[in-house]
Amino acid sequence: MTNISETPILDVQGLAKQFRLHAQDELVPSCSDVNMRAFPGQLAALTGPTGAGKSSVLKCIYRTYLPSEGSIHFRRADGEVVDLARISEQDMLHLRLSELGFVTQFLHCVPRRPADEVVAEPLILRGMALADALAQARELLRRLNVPERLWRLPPATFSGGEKQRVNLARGLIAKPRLLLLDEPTASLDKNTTGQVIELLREFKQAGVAMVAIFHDPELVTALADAEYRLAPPQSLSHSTPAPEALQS
Amino acid sequence: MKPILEVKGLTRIHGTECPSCLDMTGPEHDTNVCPACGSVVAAANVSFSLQPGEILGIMGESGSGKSTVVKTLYFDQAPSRGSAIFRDGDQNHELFNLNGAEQRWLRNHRFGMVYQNPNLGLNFGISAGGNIAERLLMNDLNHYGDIRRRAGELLTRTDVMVSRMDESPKQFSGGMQQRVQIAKALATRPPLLYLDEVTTGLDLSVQARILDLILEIQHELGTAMIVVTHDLGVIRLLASRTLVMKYGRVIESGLTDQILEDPQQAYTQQLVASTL
Amino acid sequence: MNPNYQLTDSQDSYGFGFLDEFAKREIRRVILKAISIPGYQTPYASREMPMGRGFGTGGLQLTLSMIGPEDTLKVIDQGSDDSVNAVNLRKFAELTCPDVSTTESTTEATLIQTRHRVPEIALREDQVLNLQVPYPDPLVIVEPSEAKRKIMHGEGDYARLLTKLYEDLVKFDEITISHRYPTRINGHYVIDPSPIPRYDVPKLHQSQALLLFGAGREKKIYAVPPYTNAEPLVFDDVPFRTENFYNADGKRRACNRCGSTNSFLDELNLEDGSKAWQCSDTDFCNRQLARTDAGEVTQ
Repeated sequence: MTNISETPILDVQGLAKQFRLHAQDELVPSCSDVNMRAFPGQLAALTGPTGAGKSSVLKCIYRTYLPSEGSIHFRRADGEVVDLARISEQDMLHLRLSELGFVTQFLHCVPRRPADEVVAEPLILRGMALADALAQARELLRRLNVPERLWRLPPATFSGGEKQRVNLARGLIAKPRLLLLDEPTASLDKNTTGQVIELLREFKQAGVAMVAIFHDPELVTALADAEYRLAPPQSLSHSTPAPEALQS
Repeated sequence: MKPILEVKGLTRIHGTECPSCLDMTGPEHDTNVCPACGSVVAAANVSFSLQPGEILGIMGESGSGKSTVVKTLYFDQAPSRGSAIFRDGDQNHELFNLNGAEQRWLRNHRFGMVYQNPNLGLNFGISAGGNIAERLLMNDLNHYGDIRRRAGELLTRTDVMVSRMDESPKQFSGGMQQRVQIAKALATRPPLLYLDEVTTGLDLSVQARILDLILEIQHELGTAMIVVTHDLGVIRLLASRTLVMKYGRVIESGLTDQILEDPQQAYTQQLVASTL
Repeated sequence: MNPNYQLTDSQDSYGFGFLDEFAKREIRRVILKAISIPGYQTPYASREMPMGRGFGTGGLQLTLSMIGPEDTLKVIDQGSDDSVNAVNLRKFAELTCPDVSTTESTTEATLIQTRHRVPEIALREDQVLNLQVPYPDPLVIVEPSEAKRKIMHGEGDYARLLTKLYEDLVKFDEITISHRYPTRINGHYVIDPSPIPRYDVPKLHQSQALLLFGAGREKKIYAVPPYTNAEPLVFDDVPFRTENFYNADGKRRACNRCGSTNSFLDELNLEDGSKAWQCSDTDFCNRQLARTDAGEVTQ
């Protein structure tokens, strides 16, 4: 066996993202010249000051943002290397379903669905039977300390920490080959954060590659195998938080 | 997987078309009325594909041509030009080359349509159950008991009380009328469903239940859908990919989260910004 | 008015059968087309007749275009030879078709023109029945546009008609159509068989005689050729029913004139306020009566 670390699953080269805001007639840079790699079983942490475009990098990888420059090479399960910046929308949708996971800061899910179904959805979309998917979802919710009485309730009413745990569970349940984490523990208590660290370690052992943004430097120390420090993009001004305002 | 529907160059011009119709209309001219001949370009060179089980959103303001696209695909209107291939099992249908009988057959058997105005999709002169029965009868189900049973199942599935199936949908609330329309559209288990502004004009809570229902149906039956709406919330909830239309043109298309978070065109940015 | 104009009193001024030969030829060709496409409503140029539309001009044009001196004509209205409409039409035929004999006997007739009934006595191959039709298109109740109706007929699309029957069953637990029951001919076209009662619909099926339907006002001719399937539109699990004439005790009523229990009965209000039932087909009734008088056993 060769050292699997030698073949990256993700190889980002010269990535840049600018937003063209037509109404303001402005070009807002979000990140520039980002080079990074992620390896199976390892966690790459993105660090840097606010405005360095850490979240933008994750969103470019996931195609929520269209990259302006650069390449994002991804080695698929079948061994083929594709450029996530250029593959078709259909292929991207397929990869999202089968190989990519994204845990964002906020829970985006179909409203009015009970938490366990929200968590189980990625498995159901892959074709797993509802009962099996729900069983796995509940197991994961238990590990993340989500009280059992909440499982059948829609997460809309949950506290920030509870929502975040549901969000994590949903992102983790399908065991993606590449997991993108954007401040996954931002609103968690110490105890649950510990659980998450343990869970992510397990994922690493299982060979999952991760690219993560942590608000807490301790987590970087605890989990990261590599750290990529991003500098704010050189440009006109980076006082504009415009992209975030668009999304909310 | 091959797309269930492939649309290429779909164009629909109302009026006496002239050579400059396409050149002198569109977003860059800020009109869809040809200044040379006065024809209205409702849709111009619309192309897209749809995978089995996928929900595609078509977003735009009124007059953008989004409804024209589904109306031509459902044969409510004839296109001026363009092609659309519908793959049904191992059969490929070139929709606009079919004769009237073949088009009506597909419409009655393989497509479903839910209109914004229930008047268009339902016959208020007959009962809710009768509306569904009609579609079942078109599919050669000719057993009264079986028709009753199946209509009851469909209405139950769409949260319409079976006890009301023998009433005219005229007496129903707007939300219930839409659910009867959905039940009717699903009666033949079509692989392709068109939804034209189905939640427009309904109360928010009613909208929510209908959108939930549509998603459940997609999960359960794997029905491919084209959802036409001006409502970003509907797009966000239902569609995996989205086309943005203006003055009959597709000005932008992409994954729905990308369209909403990183819109490229000025018009789309304006649309997205204005809903927040 | 031109004072020099004189009305002709010469018989030769009118051709045999009132219609000019071009009109007859057109109608005969349309009849042939109608026979060739069983159940198809064939358009024709319905002529002005010396009586109002709605008085059987469609049936009359069929009759006049087919009749010859060797024919024997019977005209009935609701089963009766003596009602006003039947008498007038018969007189008109006698006036315009010299040498044609008329009859009240179903078996002697070669040509029968009828309104609202098919005779009780089964017709033979050498007989033709011309039915007078007020509304030829069964789809008119579900689709106002004739252009669309034509497409529906062409594609054999009768789902909406069946939906109407479905609605009947929902509301009344049975199909309430009493006459003009939509009937599918030769497995495709559904016809309005004219206002005959349900009781007569089975007589259309595999009939030995040619059945022609003429709608004068609506300008349509259609046919059920001999030995052709005629199936009333029904659901698989709701069989077609005909009038059964059972009384409150579940016993089949008999004609109070001839005693027959196997004919279509008319309900009569007697002067004392009571009700009576009598054969609607007078020729049939008379025959039964004659057989009873002759000592034969009634059925």
